[in-house]
Amino acid sequence: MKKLITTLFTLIFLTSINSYAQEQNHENHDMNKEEIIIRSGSIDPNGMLLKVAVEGMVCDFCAQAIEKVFLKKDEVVGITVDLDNQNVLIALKEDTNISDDTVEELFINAGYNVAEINREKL
Amino acid sequence: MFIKILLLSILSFSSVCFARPVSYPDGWTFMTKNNSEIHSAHLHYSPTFNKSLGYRIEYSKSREYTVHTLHYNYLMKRWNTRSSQANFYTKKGIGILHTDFESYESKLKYAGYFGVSADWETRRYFASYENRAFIAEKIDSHFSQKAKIGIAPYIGDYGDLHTWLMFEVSHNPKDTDTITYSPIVRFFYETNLLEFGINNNNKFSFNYIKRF
Repeated sequence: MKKLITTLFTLIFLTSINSYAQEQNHENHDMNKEEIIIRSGSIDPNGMLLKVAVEGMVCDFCAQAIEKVFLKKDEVVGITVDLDNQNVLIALKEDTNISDDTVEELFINAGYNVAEINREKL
Repeated sequence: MFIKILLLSILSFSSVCFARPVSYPDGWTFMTKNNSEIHSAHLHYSPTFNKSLGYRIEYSKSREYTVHTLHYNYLMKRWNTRSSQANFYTKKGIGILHTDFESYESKLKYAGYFGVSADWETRRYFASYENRAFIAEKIDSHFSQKAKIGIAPYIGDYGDLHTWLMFEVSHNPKDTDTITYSPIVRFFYETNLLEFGINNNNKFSFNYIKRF
């Protein structure tokens, strides 16, 4: 029993150190870049990019929910959920758009609130 | 014994294979909870982000009964902020209890339960409370409640393996040990959530949740 608990906590300790190091790397990396990274799907170089500040995203399940909801929309080609900064980047197809009201409604229907929406033409 | 329960749970439910009682719209969730007293499995569908309806089966070891219920969860209220989320849920189920215990040979009885739960979570801290009142005509009725707190030793990115260290206090007035304490380790990877715990009576618990 003691062996099992010791092994378990050693594994957690090692995982924590490794992840903490990665956490520091992510922070340093994020400060030096302005590039757009789309985690799920792709980016249309002639499309629009929405940057949405979201409230209530605390875990991977939240991120997955938001991805699933938005990737069902025909206008959306890709999405990145940034839990660190509580932002969601939504890449749209060329010549398509989604209104702020629709974006807000989609987030509310997924269980989250929108604080701010910014748009950028690529 | 513990390994046996773990393997049996995974093997038994891998074909249907999730901690939140509700999911995203059109999402399915499978969850199994196992401790020294109860084994349960629950599959539910969420038509909207605040409701889920599913089938739940529960086996009570000491009372030797199995309960099959239609289970409904309702997220009454959610509070979202930039760094946290808090929820208040109601949970209810109605169905049939089957038991061979003592003189109740192959008895079928109507059974049902109602409970509330609340949680608060940031990416670093977690706290939850839940209770349940269970009633099965002439066979069993009891009230149970538990509270859990947790901390993430590191904050991983989306898609990383997340680890939580938790502590749970359970209050079951009808059990021999009415209050038990359990340190729990939670692993959370992609759509899988796994919890292992051991209580002050050296009894293991194992919970698994999959969302799909």
